[in-house]
Amino acid sequence: MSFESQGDLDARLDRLLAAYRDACPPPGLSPGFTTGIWVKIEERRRFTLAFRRLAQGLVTAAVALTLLMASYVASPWFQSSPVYSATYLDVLSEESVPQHPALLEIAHPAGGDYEAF
Amino acid sequence: MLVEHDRIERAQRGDDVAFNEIVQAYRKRILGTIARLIGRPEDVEDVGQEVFVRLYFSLDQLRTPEVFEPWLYRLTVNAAYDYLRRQRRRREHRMADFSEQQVLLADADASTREEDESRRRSQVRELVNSLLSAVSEEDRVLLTLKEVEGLSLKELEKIYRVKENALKVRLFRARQRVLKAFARSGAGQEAAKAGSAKAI
Repeated sequence: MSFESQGDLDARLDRLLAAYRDACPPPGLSPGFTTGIWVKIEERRRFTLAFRRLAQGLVTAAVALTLLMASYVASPWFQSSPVYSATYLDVLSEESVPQHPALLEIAHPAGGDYEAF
Repeated sequence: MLVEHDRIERAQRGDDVAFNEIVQAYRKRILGTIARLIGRPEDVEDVGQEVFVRLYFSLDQLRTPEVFEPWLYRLTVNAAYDYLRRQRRRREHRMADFSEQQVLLADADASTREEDESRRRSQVRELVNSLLSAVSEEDRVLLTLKEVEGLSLKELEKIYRVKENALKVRLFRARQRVLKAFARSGAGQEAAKAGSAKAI
């Protein structure tokens, strides 16, 4: 593009934008303009209020559920649960040792004859 | 300022009457700006209402009434951005959409007085919309505020909260992009032809 055509383009664009300015006169103000604003404000307020109520309801439900769970965990019935009242080692130590003779034989071979192995 | 600081402060405190007075004072100016920013008269009122609704819900964030006008302009610009983005998603304007004849008719000097004025205006709007849709919404709004709306760099500085030099660079680039789009269009080709003919 030559400098001349660039300058020509510039000038044409300026003229076009000036024409655009004239082609966009301030729009006529409808009588319901301000009323429309208040309708939209009210709609948004209602939506915000409904959303806030929903959020509050969810928070209340979450708090109630937390309290319920906390009271369940703190309850004596929960505390006496065999699974959680003892450690794994406690449970193992309480397990009875094998009483069956065959098992005892394996655990403690008679005469201590290990050479057979 | 079209309204006193006191009125803005009252509106900030939740005085609906004061807010209505602000709307009455600024609506004409804001609607005019929106009309030039979006170029679609049928949607101007809707976007204008959106601006004032945003104003209502964000008035408490305004620190001082002195900066009310640039702040209101910023809300206007943001609402225009949102509208233009929605429009872009709905319908992609393509540069090929406008014919050379349309371009010639739209050119301010080329259009003859005998033509129907409203038709010519509508064509000018269509052409400029097509041209500006070839650039980003940011470029479009900035260029419109400067070259159509006639805002000074100082005013733009307050609205955009950026330094004058940065604005100048952005404006230059935006204009270059529009010029490129213009050159690709029928009007640009005409200008190029005219340029080469003169060179011969």
